[in-house]
Amino acid sequence: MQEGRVLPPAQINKDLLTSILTTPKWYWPAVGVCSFIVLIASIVVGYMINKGLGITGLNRPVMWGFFITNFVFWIGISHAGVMLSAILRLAKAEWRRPASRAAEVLTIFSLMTAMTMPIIHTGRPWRILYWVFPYDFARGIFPNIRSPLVWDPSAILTYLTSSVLFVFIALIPDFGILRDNTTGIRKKVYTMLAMGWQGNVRQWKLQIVAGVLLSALILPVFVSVHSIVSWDFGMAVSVKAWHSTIFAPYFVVGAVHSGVSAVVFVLILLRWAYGWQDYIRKEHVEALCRLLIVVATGWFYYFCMEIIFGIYGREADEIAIRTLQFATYPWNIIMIIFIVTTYFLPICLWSRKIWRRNLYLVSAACISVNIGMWLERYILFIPGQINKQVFTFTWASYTPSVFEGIIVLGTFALVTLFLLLFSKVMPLIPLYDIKEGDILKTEIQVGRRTVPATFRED
Amino acid sequence: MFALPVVSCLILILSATPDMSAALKNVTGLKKRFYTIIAGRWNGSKKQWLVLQAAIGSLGGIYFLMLPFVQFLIATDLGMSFIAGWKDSIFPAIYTLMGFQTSLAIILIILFIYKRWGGYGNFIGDSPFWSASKILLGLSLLWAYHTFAFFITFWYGRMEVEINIIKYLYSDVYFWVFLLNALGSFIIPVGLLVWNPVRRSAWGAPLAGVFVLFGALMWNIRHFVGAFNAGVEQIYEISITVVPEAVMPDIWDIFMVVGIIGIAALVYLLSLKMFPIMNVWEIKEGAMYQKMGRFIKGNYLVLAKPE
Amino acid sequence: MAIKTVLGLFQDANQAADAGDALKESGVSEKDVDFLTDCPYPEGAFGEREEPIRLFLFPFIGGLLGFVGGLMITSMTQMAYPLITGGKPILSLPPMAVVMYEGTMLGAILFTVIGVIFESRLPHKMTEAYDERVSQGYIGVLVTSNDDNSQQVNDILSNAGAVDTKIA
Repeated sequence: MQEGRVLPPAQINKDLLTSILTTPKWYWPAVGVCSFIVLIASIVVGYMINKGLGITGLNRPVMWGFFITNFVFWIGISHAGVMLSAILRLAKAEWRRPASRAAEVLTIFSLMTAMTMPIIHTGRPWRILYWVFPYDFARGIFPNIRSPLVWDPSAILTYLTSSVLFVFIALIPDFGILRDNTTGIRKKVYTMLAMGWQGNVRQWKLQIVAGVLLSALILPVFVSVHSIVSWDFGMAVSVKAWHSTIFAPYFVVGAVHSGVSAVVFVLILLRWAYGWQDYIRKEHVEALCRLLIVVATGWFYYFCMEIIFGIYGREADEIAIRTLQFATYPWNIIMIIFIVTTYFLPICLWSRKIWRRNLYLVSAACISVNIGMWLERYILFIPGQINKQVFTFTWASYTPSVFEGIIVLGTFALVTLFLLLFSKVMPLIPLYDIKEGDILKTEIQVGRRTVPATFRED
Repeated sequence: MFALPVVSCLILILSATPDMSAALKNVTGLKKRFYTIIAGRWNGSKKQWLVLQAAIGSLGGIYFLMLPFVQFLIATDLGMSFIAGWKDSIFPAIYTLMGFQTSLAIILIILFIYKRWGGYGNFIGDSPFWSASKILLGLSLLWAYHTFAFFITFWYGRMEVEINIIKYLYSDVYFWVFLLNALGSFIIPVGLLVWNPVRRSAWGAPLAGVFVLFGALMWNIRHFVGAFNAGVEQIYEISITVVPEAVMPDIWDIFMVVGIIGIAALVYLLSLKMFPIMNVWEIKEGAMYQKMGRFIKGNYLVLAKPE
Repeated sequence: MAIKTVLGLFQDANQAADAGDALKESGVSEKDVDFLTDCPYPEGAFGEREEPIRLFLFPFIGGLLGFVGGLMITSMTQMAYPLITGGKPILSLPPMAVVMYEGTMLGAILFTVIGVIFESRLPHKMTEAYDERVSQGYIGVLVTSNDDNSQQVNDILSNAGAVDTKIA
């Protein structure tokens, strides 16, 4: 791309392996803080399993609260990986190069974190084993494959497996470089992981073909995962505001919106933390922001469709939910914050080129999107349940407890911890991708102007 | 709905302005008068080019933002509102998506005709078909995805109105039309476009496009004919309780459909007498930014990005 | 006769490509010459032979197996535990389609990965000549020869501008 300078391969190795071969001062304190928060959250989870789900705010009729909101949120974040890596690879966008690995890795860790949410939500997580093994533990009852709750694990495990394998295949050349640049036990481990990688013509051709093929295969999985998660809610006819046909694409586009915003934020942090200004340039951030404008507008279209058709039928109970969401305190405040932070504020901040190149403004916009998207799931799931069935003995609606808050905070710390630990053992920017971009760079002379260009194989 | 054709005409006229200016010397009569009014003051200055590109970009953005809204209006007003209880938030999205799919299909068919028989073989290579076929494949897959999302949501809850709508539009009354629709919009295009050699060829994507157009016609017949004929008796009900009967077309219906397609083709062909089929200035601009270049021992395409 | 590998290290890609031409002119077979790089170069950049790969078979086989697996899990469990839920038929095709679709994609992806590793001839015990400077941006020209020819190949590579050569 236009602003980068071509660096010698040895310099690229040194810069991009710096996270593995050296340890910056902030690293261990950051790991320590994240580990501490994860430990506290784990203790709270243990306490919850011991005392029961009653310590949370969950009660009839609101059976799904913070945990499921958080589950859907992290599944959403996981969609950035395929969006940036697969779709942009198929579209031959040069600016995906520094972002793809970080996005893919964020996908894996978000998925793993998301999976912990329904597991602890069961109250007795060991009973998941009854689901997993095709054995009649419960006298004639077996997981009901007609339920979206069973489609969920099939989709999420498929996506997780695919993402891990996708990252692994792309890491093999980088393991080769690490094998050649380390000593001692690390060299032995990287040698084993590199599996004898030489970098010959055949192996590189397979890497390229595999990248395209796996991208094409993982794309349908990416679309299906969040669609299936949305059908956890969309299939339910008893909860108003949930039974809508648009949920599948609405959730997928929302996931891309929140996921790509999260990746942009992570890239800005990496650029600052490791001094990767030559690799994660403002032009990459700017290109990602332009993509986000399109995605955000698509999301806003689906959001409007969902609201419009919610009230289209003029059904009394559906109107009641919408009145709760839009006109009743505190939901109306949450609704306003959600719409502003998810769409209007970020779009304003991304609307001008000079603002898109200001990393502080872009970071603010990306954080705003993720706050908004978390609130979106909250405002989508809770009001419908509140009004689902009014029991005579239901005295209160849902108030999240401090334990839920700690566990949710723990998930953020867990993902950050995973990313930090990953950065210590594997490169967060694919080295060969950057080098390939450099060797393909050339120029075309148009009159007196030299226009940057790339060589293309097809 | 009026604004959409106006904006698209503006885009057409603006993008043809430089070519009209270039053609002024060679035209006479009404065409000369028309070209003079539109492009008489065009001299190709830097400022004019910048304004032209900004205008096309802005109008394109406006068009793109208006299009889903128009599709939403047509889908709800002329479709959903006629079947009592049909509350389907994804229907406008499917209709919009089909709009993209069919317009791409028509463009590919026209490009192929002009490449093969129109004498534009030197200007239309295989690469537009290679690039566009991926988009057509993606749109066909998206059609199937959106349709399945609708279907499974309506099927799952076993609500009477939703099952009746599925029986009416999918599984019972208009089943054969749905089958033809699925074949045309998804099965055949995906079956064709999944193969690299087919996508690389000039005929592959246009052939898929022909099936896409047929599938879209079946989709529109199924939904809009179905909607208009869902029964006056049930229109004021909360939801349909009786699955309506199918309405078979008579000879006048077929004449009307053929006639409308004919009119569209006629208007298109007549407009080609006024506007060039390809923007000459865009072809020249594209040629400036690409060439074949030598990289070590191989020859590869060099593609520049000016911005 | 023992098989030997000779590696020539080049700093310049054009020199490496010229070395490949020199080897071909001296009678070394194309399939005995390979180019080691730290990043992918466009196919044919070094004038090398086209590598046929059969990767596309793997996702088809994997997808088929995954499809069958998904079909078996969904249909057999539903028939083994015939409980009607929500008024839906025992063998419900739309939910089956979801699980079968995931099975198909999982199978396709798993087999694609197996195919990539297999077709890359990995895992591979590195007995050939190799130099860690390849990952620093040097281009390695790796030639498979025998005892008699290895010195001749070594000389060709040195004359072509190799900064270093190795025989293993």
